[in-house]
Amino acid sequence: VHRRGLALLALGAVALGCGSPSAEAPSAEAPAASEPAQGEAARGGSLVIDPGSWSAWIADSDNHALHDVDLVTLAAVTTPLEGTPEQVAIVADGRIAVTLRDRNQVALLDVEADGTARAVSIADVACDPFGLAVTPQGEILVTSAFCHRLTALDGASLEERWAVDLAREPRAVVATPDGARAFVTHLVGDAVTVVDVAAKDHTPRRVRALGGLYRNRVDRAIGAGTLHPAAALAYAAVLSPSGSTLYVPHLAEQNGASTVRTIPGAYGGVPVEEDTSFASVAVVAAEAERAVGAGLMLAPDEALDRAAFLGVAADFAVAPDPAPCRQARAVALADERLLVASQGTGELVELDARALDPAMSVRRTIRVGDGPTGVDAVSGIAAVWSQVAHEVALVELESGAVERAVIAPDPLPPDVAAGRRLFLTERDRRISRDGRACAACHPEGRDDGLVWKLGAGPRQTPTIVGRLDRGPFGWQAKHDHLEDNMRETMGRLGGSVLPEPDLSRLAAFLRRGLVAPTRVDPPRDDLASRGKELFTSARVGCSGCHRVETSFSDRTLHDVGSRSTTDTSSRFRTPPLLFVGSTAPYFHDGRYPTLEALLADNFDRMGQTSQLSRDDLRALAAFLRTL
Amino acid sequence: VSAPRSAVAAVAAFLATGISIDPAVRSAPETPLPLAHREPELPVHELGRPTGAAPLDIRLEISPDGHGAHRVIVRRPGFLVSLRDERARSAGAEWTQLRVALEGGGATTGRLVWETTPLEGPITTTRGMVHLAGAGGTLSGEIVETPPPEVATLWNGPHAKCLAYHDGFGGFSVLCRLPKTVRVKGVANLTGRDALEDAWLMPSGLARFDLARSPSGAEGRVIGLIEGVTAVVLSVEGRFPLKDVPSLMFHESSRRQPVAAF
Repeated sequence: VHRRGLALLALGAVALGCGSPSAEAPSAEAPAASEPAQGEAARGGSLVIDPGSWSAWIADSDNHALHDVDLVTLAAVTTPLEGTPEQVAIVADGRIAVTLRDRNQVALLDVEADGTARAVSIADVACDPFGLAVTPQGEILVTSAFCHRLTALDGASLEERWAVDLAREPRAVVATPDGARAFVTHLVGDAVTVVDVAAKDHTPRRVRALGGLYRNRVDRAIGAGTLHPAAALAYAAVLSPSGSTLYVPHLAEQNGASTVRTIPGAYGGVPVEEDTSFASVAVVAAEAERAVGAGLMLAPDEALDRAAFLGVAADFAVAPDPAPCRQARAVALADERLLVASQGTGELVELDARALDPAMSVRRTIRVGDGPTGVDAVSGIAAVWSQVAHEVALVELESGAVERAVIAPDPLPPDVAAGRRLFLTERDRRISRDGRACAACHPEGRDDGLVWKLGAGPRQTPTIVGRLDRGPFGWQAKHDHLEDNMRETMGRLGGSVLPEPDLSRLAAFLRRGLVAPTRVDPPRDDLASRGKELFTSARVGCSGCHRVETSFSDRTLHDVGSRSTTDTSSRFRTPPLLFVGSTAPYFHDGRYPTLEALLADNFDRMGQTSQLSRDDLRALAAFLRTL
Repeated sequence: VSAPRSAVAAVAAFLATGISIDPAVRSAPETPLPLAHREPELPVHELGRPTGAAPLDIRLEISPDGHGAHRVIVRRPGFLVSLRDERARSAGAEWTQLRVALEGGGATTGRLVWETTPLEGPITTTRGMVHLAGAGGTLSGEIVETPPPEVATLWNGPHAKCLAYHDGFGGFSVLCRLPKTVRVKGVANLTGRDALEDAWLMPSGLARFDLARSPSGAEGRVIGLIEGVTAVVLSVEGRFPLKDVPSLMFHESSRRQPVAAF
């Protein structure tokens, strides 16, 4: 049953003239903002189950809609939204909160008797709102991915209570059952962030828990020498019901050393190549805020090598296969089952939650629709939302029986839709030797924050969303056409390369399907305005190469003295600066962790900045962050 | 209460550098255990009360170590012998030891737990206690048998068969038997301060892991083996979350190894 028109009007009425927060909120029935609510913590996701009504709420970003799916009949009631929903969460009073990613808003909706939802309040938040969680006190926590912020809103009025800056690309947020703290995952980096939610001081703490810490110890002990110490793609997290354990699926990566090993054999041995990445799940002791099974108190790596030498020796040429869920878009817990939505394989992967790295302990994989992005579980049932297939799967966990239903059309043009599948898919040996997906390095067209060791030298993964309007492409500007650049990239990854029609479809998705962060009228304070003056001035000369009229790049090669010892060339293409404020690290080899560090070390290599004062450099950085 | 793991690691290094000793005997703490003054409260999976004298082939030896402490040695031919309490653990083929110190000059008592498992054949573990009494600088002991350890879970995989017991102190003891066809094998402790503590592998293919309930909240051991061209990792992992019941799990993963062409 679709009630597009009615719901659209309802949301539109609230959206008109809405500020932050909405003047119309809260409704008469809503509890007062100051009323302390001691309910249960609730998690957000692109699918959440409402056990009271035995239904699932689904955020359908393609169709700009919210679906209420009956878990018995799989019938859907659809509420169109004026925005792109990313996650939904059930608020204590039965209302639905939803992040509207492209509008930089959070909406609060009342559920009508017919299953549709009616917006009662909308609040503006920092750009690119993604994850949601509800604290037992009734606060709604929102992560803003591109603007790297955590915002706490009043659960009834959506009034902003507080907000705090986080590291790059925060995604999932979960609140502890006592409402004292929240854990936030990040798309880049090897840490989760902890924020004291109930305290007055919300200063975030970083807990280094990702990067396959336990798995790497296993590989070291058995003599499989190819380790994967870097991390990315922590889209999701789930807490155990008691709040004692946090599970964070992510991708552990080997980006800094060769993955080629030589095993003994004729003619000097046989080279074998390990995967550049494997799925891992960090298990974090929530109270202690540290990774379980890894840490400073353990035997050093050399001791594990000694164990390997004494016992297994270096005879393990390759380590055992990891779990097939390198793009873990969502995760849920059902007793001992850790259920991971594997976006790149279209599977629900069931792991053993008791393991120190559950990704090493696969119980089974269950086929669901393409591109799953949401999973929730209750009473022995798991529900999965697959955004690419627009399909709900209902999994009976004991038997593994699956019921699937497509509940919405695919609104994307056919070539873009096909390109998205290619972009996300893993195990396609045409794209890479080890089955690595495009989206593993360029999640959502952004970047993994890593610097990869490649033949021509170290290369920082570039953000590509919004930057592909024209060539030439690549750090060396070798290719005028995007398809040629992709062909070379796939070849470098060891893939047999997609045929021409598929390359065209993939290019169509990269150009028209990727969604750039929406920043309506980015704020330009005095500092940023001063920075713009400096940037465009002939005296400083930034805009000579970073031309404002062409996405801040002249697209030509320059030698700015950035060649590293392992580079084979001194000249690099001027990178476009769109979104540069949130794409650290900087330079082709990622040598600068911040814009400030880059500017401080520039002297006169790019333009003339050596004469600028410290305040001028701050102004330049402030301006760059508005791009 | 557990002994500092640094002490355990230190003694492993000490034993490795000098005295002629069964190399399978590791993890005897360098700092001798103070003899407990009172019995601790029995945990959920309790050790049980003595049922009688120990089997006749088990021998207890107590002797001064020359450094103010005593060596408590338990021997049983043909068995993997383990000796432990809440703070420290040791094991070895046919015998093992712990060093025990007497605190103060008065009379004191304490106890250690022994377990024996046949080096060959089925995994059947016998358990008992060594009751210790110290007075006037001398230590004496009596060895008794208690009910066998309570089985927590078992693992019957294609490359190993394991039995896990409740260790009586809130943790687990695990015994695994590997097939004779295994070409290369080794064990490691991945969550301890020393990679070899609380993990023992006998030449006969019998492995023992002690996963004591630890403040770190997790204990992980691993067996690596190669059978034919298949490399196998058997993980034994105990979790002891603050607010949840402890769990123990086995997981076996394998991968066919690349073979060099000739």
